[in-house]
Amino acid sequence: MKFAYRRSATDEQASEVDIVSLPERPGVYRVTVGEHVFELDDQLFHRAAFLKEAGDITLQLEGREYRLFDAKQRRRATATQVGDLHAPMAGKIIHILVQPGERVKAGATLLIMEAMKMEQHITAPHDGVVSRLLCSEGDQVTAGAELVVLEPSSTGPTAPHAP
Amino acid sequence: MHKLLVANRGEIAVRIMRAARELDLRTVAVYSEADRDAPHTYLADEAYLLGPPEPAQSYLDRTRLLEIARRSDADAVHPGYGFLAESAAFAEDCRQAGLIYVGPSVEAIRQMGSKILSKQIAARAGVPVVPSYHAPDTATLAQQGPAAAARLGYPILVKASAGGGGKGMRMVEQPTDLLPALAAGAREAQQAFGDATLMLEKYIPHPHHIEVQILGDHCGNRVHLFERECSIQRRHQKIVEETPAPAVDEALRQHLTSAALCLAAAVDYTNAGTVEFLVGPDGAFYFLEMNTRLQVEHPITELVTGIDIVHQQLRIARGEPLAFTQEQLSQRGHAMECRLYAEDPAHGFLPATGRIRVLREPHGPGRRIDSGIALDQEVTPYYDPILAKLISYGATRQEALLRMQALLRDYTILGVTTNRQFLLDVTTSAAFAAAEIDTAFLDRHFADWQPAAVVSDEILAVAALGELLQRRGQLPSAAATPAPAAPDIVLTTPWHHYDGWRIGGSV
Repeated sequence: MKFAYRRSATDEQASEVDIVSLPERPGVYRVTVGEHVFELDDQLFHRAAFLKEAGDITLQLEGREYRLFDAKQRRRATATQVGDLHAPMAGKIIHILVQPGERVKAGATLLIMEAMKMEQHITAPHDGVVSRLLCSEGDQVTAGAELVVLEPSSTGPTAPHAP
Repeated sequence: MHKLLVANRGEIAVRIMRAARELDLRTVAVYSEADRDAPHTYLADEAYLLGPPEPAQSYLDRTRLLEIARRSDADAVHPGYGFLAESAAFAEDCRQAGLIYVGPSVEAIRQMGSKILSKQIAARAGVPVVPSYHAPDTATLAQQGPAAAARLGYPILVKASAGGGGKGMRMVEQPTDLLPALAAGAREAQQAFGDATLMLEKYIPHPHHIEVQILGDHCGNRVHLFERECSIQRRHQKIVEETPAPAVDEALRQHLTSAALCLAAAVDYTNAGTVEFLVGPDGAFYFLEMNTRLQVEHPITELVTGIDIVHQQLRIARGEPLAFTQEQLSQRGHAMECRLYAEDPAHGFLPATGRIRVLREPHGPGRRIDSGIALDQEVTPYYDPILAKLISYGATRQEALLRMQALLRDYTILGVTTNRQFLLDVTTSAAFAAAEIDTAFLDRHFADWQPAAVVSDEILAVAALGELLQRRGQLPSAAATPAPAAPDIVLTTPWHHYDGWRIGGSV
């Protein structure tokens, strides 16, 4: 059987893996990855652990955790960065500090989320104008939900900004 | 005392219920809609729904908790830690409802709960506190600040009076930087807390966070159970603790424990409590605060002293005198605890959510796991992200450390991001092995930590085997797990029945 994986979320090169069982040795498999050939025993998974959820694979082996991705899964941009306008975690919107139309400077706090007793400030990744708010105070949002639309501005803010 | 309501969830609720059953008490669990399948809910003799997941409508709802206590005929309440554990109002509610509150007096909770009052009481009891200066208003501070700072001695800390969590806080190293720091701090404090009031405090460089466990009964006996080293913190929250503290010698231990007992005596403290200190590199120590409840990290003290602190809490609450004296207590061996959190250490320790798909909790000599999770449980964003506490014990620090490393390697959890690998890297670092621990430890050594697990060809091969076995049904698959049923009001299995039915038990 053949599988293809990416070694990271941004890996452009998929790696092909070929796995066959060895009929003369029950429970043993020969796995070919590029020029490397491995013989693996299925007893391995009494100690290792494997999970595949929606194309994301997590593997725990000898105490280390590895993440890889099904190559059929569409490649994602990058992990959440500071300044991303998406919810970095599931939680509640506790404060919105800006209004639509407001000019903000890069780094300004736009809104504050809370989850598990912890506050997270969502900040502007660049100077711009808040064109739309996609949430309101008190909303419970899921991880990855878009919260604010910020139009980039080349001129910079004209109004003084509190936070 | 015959029936205990545990007003909490997760590992601590499970821990308390086990202790209560060992002492032949019946147990009542309370749960939110998010927790109907959580271990604490099904481990109790009876379980009652509090309300929606939000803490304010569930575990913080005092009225509902008292109503359940009445309905279930509970005669005692254990608050655990977090939620209402340090609420004087809740303790007072319990007292007025005729319930035994497993904790100190309402008055002690109130006195130690106030940042300012607790320090005044400590100072009066002869316990050293961090020297500080409070001004009545911003103008006075600007005027008197420079002289006050000179008296305290630089470096000093400018802190928001109303605040916590490091907001509005800045370190000032020389007099010329003071006034600008006051202006910036006031702006930040105003923004964060709606109150621009600041205070000045002497800055203790590279302190250890060391605490002393206290037990007091209602017959006037009070003992300490020695110290715990809790300096390894992220976002001002502890993640690794150990005892005995490597930085504490016998003379310092004497000073710390007697100071803790002095403070406990000053507020006539009963039940379990913890006095926290900052300890400077020179051995000078300062009272920080007192926690008037059971601490997360209590198990390490249990392992080295042989005293079950929750048993003692329950015995004290039902009026029994302590069955041991200070002279009978000693520290034997070494214990460590790592807190397993659902959080992502590579991204600012942000809380993580998800369903626990693989869970293996390895047991063995010198390993203790206080866990509040189960396979297929959903980790929700509503509560503190603690999943379990991994605790190790050994004759020496080295033995306890080796066991902790093995425990962290063997503990297997997939489906939700955790700090397991981060804890493994912390406890296998040379600096930790050398016990070079202070509150800046994580900032110094692990500020830019990444999992750094290179996916080699061998890992790809193992993944392919995992995927093949999963397709053949030899490994559990995520898709095979049914979605959870919608929460309902009454749990229907006999195990959760309202009348407290229990196999072989008398009702």
